[in-house]
Amino acid sequence: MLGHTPAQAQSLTPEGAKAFTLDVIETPLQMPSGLDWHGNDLIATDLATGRVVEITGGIARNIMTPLPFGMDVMNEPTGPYKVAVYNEKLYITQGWQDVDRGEGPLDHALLARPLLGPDHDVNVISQDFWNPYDLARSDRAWLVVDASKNALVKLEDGARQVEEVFVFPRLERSNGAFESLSPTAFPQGKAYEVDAVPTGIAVHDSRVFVSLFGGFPYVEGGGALVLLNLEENRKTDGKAQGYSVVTSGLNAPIDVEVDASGRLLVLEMGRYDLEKGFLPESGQLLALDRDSGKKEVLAQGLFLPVTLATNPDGRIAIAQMAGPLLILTPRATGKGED
Amino acid sequence: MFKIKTVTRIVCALCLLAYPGSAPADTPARQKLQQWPFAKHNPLIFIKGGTHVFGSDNGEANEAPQMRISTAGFLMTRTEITNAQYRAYATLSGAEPAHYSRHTVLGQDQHPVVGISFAEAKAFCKRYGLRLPSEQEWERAARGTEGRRFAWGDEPPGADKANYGVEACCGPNSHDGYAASAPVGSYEKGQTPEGLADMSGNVWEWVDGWYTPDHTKGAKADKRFRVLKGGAWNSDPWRLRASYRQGYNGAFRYAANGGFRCVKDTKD
Repeated sequence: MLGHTPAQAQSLTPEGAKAFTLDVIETPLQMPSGLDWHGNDLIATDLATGRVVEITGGIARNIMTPLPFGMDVMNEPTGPYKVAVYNEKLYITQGWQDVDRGEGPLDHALLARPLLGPDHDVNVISQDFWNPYDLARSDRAWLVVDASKNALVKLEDGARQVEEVFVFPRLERSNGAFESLSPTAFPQGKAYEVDAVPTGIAVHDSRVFVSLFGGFPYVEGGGALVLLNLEENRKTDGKAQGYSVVTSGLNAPIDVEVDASGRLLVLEMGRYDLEKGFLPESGQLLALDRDSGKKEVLAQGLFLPVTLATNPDGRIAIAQMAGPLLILTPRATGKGED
Repeated sequence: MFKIKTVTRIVCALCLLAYPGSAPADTPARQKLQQWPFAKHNPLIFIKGGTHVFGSDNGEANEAPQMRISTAGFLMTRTEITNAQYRAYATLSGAEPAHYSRHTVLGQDQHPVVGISFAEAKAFCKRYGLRLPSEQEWERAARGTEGRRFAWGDEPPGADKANYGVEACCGPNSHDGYAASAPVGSYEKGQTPEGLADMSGNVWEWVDGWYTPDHTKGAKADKRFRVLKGGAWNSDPWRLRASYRQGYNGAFRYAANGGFRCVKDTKD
């Protein structure tokens, strides 16, 4: 059971405070994971209970029967990872089965359910995933990060089978990152490879942005945000040729979104310690200039943040696996304010 | 979820406090913890004291120089500590479960427990009046008195002798029947003459002591790292050699190929 960080730990930076106010929303969710806006309300998932809830004024109301949840074979939480609201439907990426039961009809799947509908009306769009994580809408398809395959896959509307769009190659790391682990397993002078581990995805103007977490030992600055241009960069088999790096040096980037003004937002889970795990209060929200890659920290002190959700009115919501929900609201600007 | 160690655990400090000035009551559960309750499946085997070969001049630089040293006799668990044994201990003591305790392969009852730090291994042994072996004791047990290359002798490893990996470091294979860890004691032909199982292969084993750059007298201990011995299911034959030394951060508890066994002084 994760402990919750004090609400005061999370704060806006001076740059963030110029543009936003911060609200902290305590909810009964124990391990918030998926998050999206539905008008002025938030839809959220909870990996500790399988709940899918609508949050209005801090009150969380179940909107469907809880989905399967638990710990997977790697002793990590699995369940309803992410949620997207689209055309008055909920689309949920449901992780692989937990270790305590056999595979079920909802596992490793993209699920859909009308926002307003009978409780049992869950449609399995496809189970053709290993462990689907983040998702984004693109043309008449869903682009889904299948993190355990280090791949981006596409599910066309009406299809049941996914097509592989891109498999992220392993990332090269210098020995320096592993020095603190072992002098014999990782001797000096050698380079090592780690899994790319794609996490978040955002689509804007046909450009696909993906955050790369970088595999263990999650070295400081080992993550990146990359751009896949599926239209200009396609091989004859339909797969992407590669990607360009928008920015690197990120600390475990776990999600990416594009805000109402077209600016890139990246959520960093934080710094990793071999003994303590991810350090509490080391997560951050960054804004990125798409062309220069210049970073600006908007919020800091986040505790295992996992999901960003942007509202067309400029509000930004953040789900923290071990903390309250956070809402950044743009400050009023322009006429009438002196 | 993918391979992110997102779970952090907050130890209940209050649960570990003892009232100052008084000893904890010697409850039946505590008494049970202090005996070695796993003797039926994991008996303690006597390793005779005396002089023996330690180190090697034909290995890595950190194995040199080879020398002859004297070690007192001791008892050693026949096998690596298993998941079943560690789970029983964790249930009674309140210790955190091993990281892979629920893994469908690595977490099986008779497989060696993996995903535990040096301190956790040491604490397990201590609970039962045992301790981790020193590097010197471990080599005495694995190499005999004359410094054999592997637990069974000098012949190269084979699928009938040990659970190990590909020939060129490092990666797993199934040629020995197991793609990852194997139930302890699966390779009778790989045992030492005294009957110790899996001293070469299966999982690396924590030993007590700090890593040093070599065995020269006065070599400076690097207190960032502990030592692991014996090689594992994804090691090449070179790393299976009983003189090979793996330096590793003792706090690391996510290795899927690192375990331990315990020893006991014969005077106890």
